[in-house]
Amino acid sequence: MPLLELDGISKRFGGVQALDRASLAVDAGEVRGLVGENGSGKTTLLRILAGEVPPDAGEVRVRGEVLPTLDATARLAAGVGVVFQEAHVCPELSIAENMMLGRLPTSRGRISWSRVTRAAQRTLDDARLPLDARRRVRSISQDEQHLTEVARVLARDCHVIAFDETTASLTQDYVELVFEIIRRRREDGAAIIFISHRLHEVLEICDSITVLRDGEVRGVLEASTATEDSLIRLMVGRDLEGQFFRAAAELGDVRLSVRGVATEPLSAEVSFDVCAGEVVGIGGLVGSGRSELLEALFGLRARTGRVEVSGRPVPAQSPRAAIAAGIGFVPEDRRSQGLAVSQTVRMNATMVYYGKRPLASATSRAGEDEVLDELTSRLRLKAAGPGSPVRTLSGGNQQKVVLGRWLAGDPHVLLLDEPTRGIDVGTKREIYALLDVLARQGTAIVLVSSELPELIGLCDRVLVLREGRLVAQFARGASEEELAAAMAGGAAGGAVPSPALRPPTRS
Amino acid sequence: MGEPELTTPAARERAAGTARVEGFSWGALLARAPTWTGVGLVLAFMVIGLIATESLFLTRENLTNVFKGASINLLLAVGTTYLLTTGMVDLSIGSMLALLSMILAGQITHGVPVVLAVLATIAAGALLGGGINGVLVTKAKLSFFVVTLGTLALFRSAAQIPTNGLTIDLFDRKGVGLVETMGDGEVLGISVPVIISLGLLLASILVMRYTTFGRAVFAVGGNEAAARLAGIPVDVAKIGVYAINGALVGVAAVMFVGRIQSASPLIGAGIELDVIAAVLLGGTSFIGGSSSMVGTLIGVMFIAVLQNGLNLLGVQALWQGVVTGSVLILAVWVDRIRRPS
Repeated sequence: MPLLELDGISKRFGGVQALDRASLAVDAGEVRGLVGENGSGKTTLLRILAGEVPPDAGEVRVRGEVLPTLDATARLAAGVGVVFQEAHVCPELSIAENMMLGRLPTSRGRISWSRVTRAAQRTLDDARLPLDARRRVRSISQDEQHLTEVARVLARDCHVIAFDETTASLTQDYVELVFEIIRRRREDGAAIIFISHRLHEVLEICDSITVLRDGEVRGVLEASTATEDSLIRLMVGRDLEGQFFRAAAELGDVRLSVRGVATEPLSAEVSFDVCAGEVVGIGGLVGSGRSELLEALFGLRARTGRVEVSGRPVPAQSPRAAIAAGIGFVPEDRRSQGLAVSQTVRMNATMVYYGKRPLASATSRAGEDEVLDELTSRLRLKAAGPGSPVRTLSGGNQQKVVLGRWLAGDPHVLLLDEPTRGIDVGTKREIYALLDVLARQGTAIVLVSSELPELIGLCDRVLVLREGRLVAQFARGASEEELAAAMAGGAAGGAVPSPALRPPTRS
Repeated sequence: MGEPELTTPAARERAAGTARVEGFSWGALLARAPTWTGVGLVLAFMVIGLIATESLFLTRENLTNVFKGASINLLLAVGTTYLLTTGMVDLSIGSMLALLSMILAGQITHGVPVVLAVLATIAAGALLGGGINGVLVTKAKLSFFVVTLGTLALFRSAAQIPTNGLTIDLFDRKGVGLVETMGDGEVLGISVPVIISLGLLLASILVMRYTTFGRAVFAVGGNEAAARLAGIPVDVAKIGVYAINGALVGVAAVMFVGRIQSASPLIGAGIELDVIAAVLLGGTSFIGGSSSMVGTLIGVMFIAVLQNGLNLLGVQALWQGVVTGSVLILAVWVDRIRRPS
């Protein structure tokens, strides 16, 4: 008998069938990959496993025992633990308290803080997680907060563990740590579900892989025989080819000129140009200052130096001035910085449109429809309608709304921070295709990404930031190894930058 | 909202398919209904019940009293709806009401022409709201709760200082006709304060729906960071809603003075809680980003009719808080159950 059985699970949210009789059985000592495009139902399945939402049909069984719906305590008793995509941690509490929350050890009715810390530290050390249990969660990095989330599940000694995109926001070293944990739990006989958009990770860590599409199980593959291509075919129902997502473009005049810009975490001034039709990637590890550079260019943080769009200077520290100059910005975290999730697609999509108009002006149905047209025609937004709340959209479609709101104004410069994070392969390709079209129409695009294939496959040039310095520039065709080395500061750090980084001149 | 339902061909196909399978569903109808539907229905039942059992309810005199009494609360509730849509409240409105009524009466006793005095009072409201509360919240980046809790005490004191806490009597005073009309007059048999408050409610519905400012207000309440990144002038919008709220309190102060023909520094204490309750009852979200001006009207009328009914039934005034408080909690609770997550 499998340790974990999800049997015939169906779930409907409004007009969307999130899951349609999906079944999944995982044996003790098995790591099961769960892949599928955004909106295919992976996270919904885990939320049902965790008892967060009730299924419309079907049941969850552990060792043959049916778990009651909507009962988190029963999950804990049955040894089911889910590590969610977004860290569910209390920022004001210590790592230890977060891990032991709900079952803090007491002595004579009082919480024994020394025992809390000791027990938590033991779990962390056993898992070889480099965390100090006494530290306050607010003071640790995003990566470490995600590891705290993992540690919390580990501290509960679960036999069934599910990881939802846990590695998506982790740097490579931490990904290895998580893999080590998964391998050890597998040896201990746990049943593990592993969700990731990074298919090579899934192939590396899993024994078998279940593919979901539109809420249905489309296949179960042995990891030893499956390939990325075979998975993608099942996920999207079509082939996706090519390492390069766009051809080299004709470059126009300089659209964005950055001269001697420095901002808080950047330790040296940065200068570069981006031409019309050019996509410039910015690579770097977490903490290299790449997001901060974009924020400074968009006027979100104080900076020195000079920024020009099409020859006209852009004042610092004013997003409104940056927008007026023709700069568009897609932030890294779409839920906290990009969207009003409870509001409609129409409201969210037209935010930029109305941001440009004087407050004392009437709304324009025609103007709104123009924005919505861009969304549905150029980005093929999948939503029940412009009146449906953004909350009901899949992650990929939410990102289309954040990106699409800039299209109607034809921005001169588009700054994108991790525009495809947590987005499925198919939607990623759609966004790549759109960026290509925008570039061809003369938009200068600056793309921050932590995915090397994206930087290589999409960009005409890649700039590498390391510890707040611009350390290298690569032309089209650089290898992943070269980029990774420059980011990490290895011996093979790429070309030394000239003082003013200009695009390579074409003959 | 009357949005066109479907855009993409795929979505249309899918919906057509499911519509055929599912047919009519009460759940779907309920989920689409405006947030104030429940309160509106209970209000309707209450009115029907009162008409059937209390002969005094459906008299012209009683109804006029109900509506007149509700008109000041409605003005304040409209202002609070603007604020709650952005995710903020103004706790100082009761004190502001007292201070502005003293400012109005003070001007009149010092011989300022009444039209000027009324306009100056409304402008002073906008200044107290936008220039003090709004600016402190946005430019000094203080919590709206702290700021308006502070000005609640501050405005109350400021209202008491000029007269040592004494009332200014305007009874039988010459040249206060405009104030009297605004507070207690009638045009074509309809009470002027009712006309004013409904007119300003209507204007607010239009502002929220059909102006860029209205969109900005919703965007700020929906996600302030996202609004800022989209280029919406967040601070101006916030100061704007505080100024509008202050101006509405100014109009309410004129109506109040006109109605009781005097100005007292003690009026309006605790009124902010009644007003917030009415707005929440009308389905406006406490965390911002979603609101309904129509719901606010229904919420205000609900409390007014409930209190009137309790009076007619002879329920002691001391018990009325128990009823209104329970109804508020119940209404918000029902709304929560109706809309999962």
